[in-house]
Amino acid sequence: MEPHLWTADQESARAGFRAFARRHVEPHAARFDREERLDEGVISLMASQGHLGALVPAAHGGSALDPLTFGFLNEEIGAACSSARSLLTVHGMVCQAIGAWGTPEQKARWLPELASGRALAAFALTEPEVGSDARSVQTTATPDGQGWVLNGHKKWITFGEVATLLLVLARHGEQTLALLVDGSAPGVQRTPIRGMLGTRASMLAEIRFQDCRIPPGRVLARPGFGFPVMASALDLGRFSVAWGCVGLGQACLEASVRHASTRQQFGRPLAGHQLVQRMLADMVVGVRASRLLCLQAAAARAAGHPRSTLDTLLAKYHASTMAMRAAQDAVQVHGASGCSAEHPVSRYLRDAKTMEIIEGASEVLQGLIAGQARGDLRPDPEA
Amino acid sequence: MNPDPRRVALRAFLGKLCDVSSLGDQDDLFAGGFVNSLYLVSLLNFVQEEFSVVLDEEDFDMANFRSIQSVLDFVARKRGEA
Repeated sequence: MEPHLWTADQESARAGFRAFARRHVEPHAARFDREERLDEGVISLMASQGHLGALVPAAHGGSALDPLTFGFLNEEIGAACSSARSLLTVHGMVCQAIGAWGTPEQKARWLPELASGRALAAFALTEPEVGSDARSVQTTATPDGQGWVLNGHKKWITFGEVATLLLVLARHGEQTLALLVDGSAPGVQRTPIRGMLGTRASMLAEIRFQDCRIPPGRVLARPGFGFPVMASALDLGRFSVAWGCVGLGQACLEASVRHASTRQQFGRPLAGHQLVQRMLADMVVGVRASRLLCLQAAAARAAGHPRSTLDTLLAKYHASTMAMRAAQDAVQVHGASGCSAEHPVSRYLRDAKTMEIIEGASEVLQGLIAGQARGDLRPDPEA
Repeated sequence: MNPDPRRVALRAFLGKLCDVSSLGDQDDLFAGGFVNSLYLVSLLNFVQEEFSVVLDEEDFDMANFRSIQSVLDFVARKRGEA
């Protein structure tokens, strides 16, 4: 812990998030995973705590958390259940996009609904043929005189099964658009996706739009700004996932320490064997390093520093790879019991693999980080 | 001749994102790879806060942010100076 790096209020909020997550989320996480859905009860509880309005200004009924406090929320919920943290991520991405790019009318219409949990939001970018290369989006928006007509196919949309508001990336000629679409609008067909490897309770869906009429006033920013709108939302998504991975790594560490301290082999606890100690030590250092990178990203976001996007990339890349290593080692420490579907560490491992893919696959992030490094290290022509 | 303080501030801001030593005022920030969509939001926030302008829906036009000169021209228009 590094409590000297944040305020007493932030520490108090963190303790509250932890108590909530351990009482109301963690005990049900295995069931959520098994049933492949979050139940309405936990979503309502999260809404009642202000978690769904974490990024909504107070004027619109939100909690308006500062970046670090929002990070702590994601860490603590992420330690309990990665699927519940996924809800914070995608819901928060849409709240952030409306807050940053929406008109006063758009903010007044949707932000109070999203903050209260009366509306749930999903981020609809990915398509069957379009993943990391988001500029190649194939869903089309065609002007119909007043609004738009949407046609296309989105896939792997987190909470797409239940979201009442969809933020959809579409194309009109060379322009991209970010559109706010009612989940129940005529022409929207949703098909739940089951059997995912990790974050199985994230209620993924395929969403087809067939001649779906979008009324006026549903474009965020303007036509042509769709990709920047979505990129800014993804930046927030990476921040949320990075913190969630810190929580996931912490959960792996705590489970491993408990097991290694009580399980006896060859006449002493597992924790007394040096090769097990190596795994525990790597988890401690990995979690701590990832949390520090997340703290740096949070500080940059709070200061409005232009490098906050890069700091977030670093944090997400490091934290997701750390969580994967920690989960692999946690299963190893637990031996056969760790391979059982009944044990949380097997869920942690499946969830951690997903973290290396969502909101920017590790290879995409590595490319962006390396590209920035090449720019930073460009030879000085005056030298 | 005193340097234009807005130009200096904008170049200093961009210098936190990338190497601006070879960046001309008319150069395309996006085509040249100096600024990508990830950083566009930072640029928009900077313009609003540093130059005390409020962006409206119609201002979200890439032409307003394509180069250092286009940003400065846009700010001057928003502030009623041009």
